[in-house]
Amino acid sequence: MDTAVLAGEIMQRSGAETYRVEDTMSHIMRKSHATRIETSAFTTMLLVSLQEEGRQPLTVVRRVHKRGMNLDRIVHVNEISRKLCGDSLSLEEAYAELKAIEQESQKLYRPITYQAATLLTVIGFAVFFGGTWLDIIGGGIVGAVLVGINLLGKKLRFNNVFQDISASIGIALMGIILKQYVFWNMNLETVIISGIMPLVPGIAITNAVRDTLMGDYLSGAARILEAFMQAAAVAVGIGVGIVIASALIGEKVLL
Amino acid sequence: MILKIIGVFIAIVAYSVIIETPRRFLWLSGLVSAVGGAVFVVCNEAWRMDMVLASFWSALGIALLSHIFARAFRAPVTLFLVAGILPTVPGAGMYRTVYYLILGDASMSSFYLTQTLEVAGVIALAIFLMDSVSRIFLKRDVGTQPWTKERNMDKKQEEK
Repeated sequence: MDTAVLAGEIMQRSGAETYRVEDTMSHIMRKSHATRIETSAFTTMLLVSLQEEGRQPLTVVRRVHKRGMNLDRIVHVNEISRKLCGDSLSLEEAYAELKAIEQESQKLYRPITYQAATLLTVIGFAVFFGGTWLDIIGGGIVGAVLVGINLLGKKLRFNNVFQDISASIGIALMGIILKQYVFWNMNLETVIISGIMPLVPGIAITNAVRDTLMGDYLSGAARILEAFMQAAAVAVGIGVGIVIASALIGEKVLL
Repeated sequence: MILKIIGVFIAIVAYSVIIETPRRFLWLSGLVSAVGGAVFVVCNEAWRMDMVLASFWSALGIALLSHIFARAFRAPVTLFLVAGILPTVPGAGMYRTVYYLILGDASMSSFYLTQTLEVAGVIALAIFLMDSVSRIFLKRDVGTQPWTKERNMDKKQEEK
């Protein structure tokens, strides 16, 4: 039971689809000799209940607070649960391994790699959107601003929405300033769009569709709302950025 | 054009690092999105298709390849799909909507808003379609599907 809930909690926190979480938990629960098993996962909550012959039913509720994206953990938990169900891993071993995953504070890559990856994502998209060399360099600079704001946000513990807003304000401002004072041949649109690509809600859209398709309408609706919130945050940020820039520099920014 | 595909490959490999894809899957998810990007570029530029339709084919290709890879490498579909779908997400439409809104050009702004929503809907449709199709045709493949495993489990329990 503990193993199942722990597995579910890790998966839910790592951004797995709802049906996968429920499925994994009920597979692990089947290892017990209960007569009836119910598992139910929502975006922010897990509910697990099991009933044995001649006993009171047992229920555990977990609130899932922090959610992020960590595919590595999903893959890991998936493997453990598969091994457990294939009897090549005992329950105690599985629990110990899950506990190890949960407490693993070290990330998969070094911190510097994440920052470099953000930068490369922006540059890569600048190429994809048909940027010239100037646009790619501009994309690199805007990406550096994004990295800086991300680091600052982590230090000051911004919430997700505010993080997105401030990052896109930074991107818009930096893009316009670059265009105005440094590279006036630069294509502003390309640079700003590549800058916001790491912030757009691709994950939320994907998960929303898959959850809804599996019949988990509650989670699906929550994810759709999440996608809209992220998109709105980015849009508001860009808007505010442009307004600030045009107030500072003058109306000609917009042409 | 080839430069663009290389660009999207680099971007997605880097993005996969951000969402902590295990190391052995990094190149694969880059490949998925490079194919998607290639489909998009070919449809949009060579065949002069509409943005929305090009996004649809691109997302469909990405979803198909994700499902195939997920079966072949026994990993969750999400792994490839989440990173792979990113190039088709309408970041450009979002930006232009806001840009024209601030410029005071309401008709252009609502045009791009509609386009953004259409592209998002089309991506959803493509993922939906591929999920359903894979359920029909790839059913008997390895035990990655939840219900095949479930059925086996039920049998085991009955035997006991």
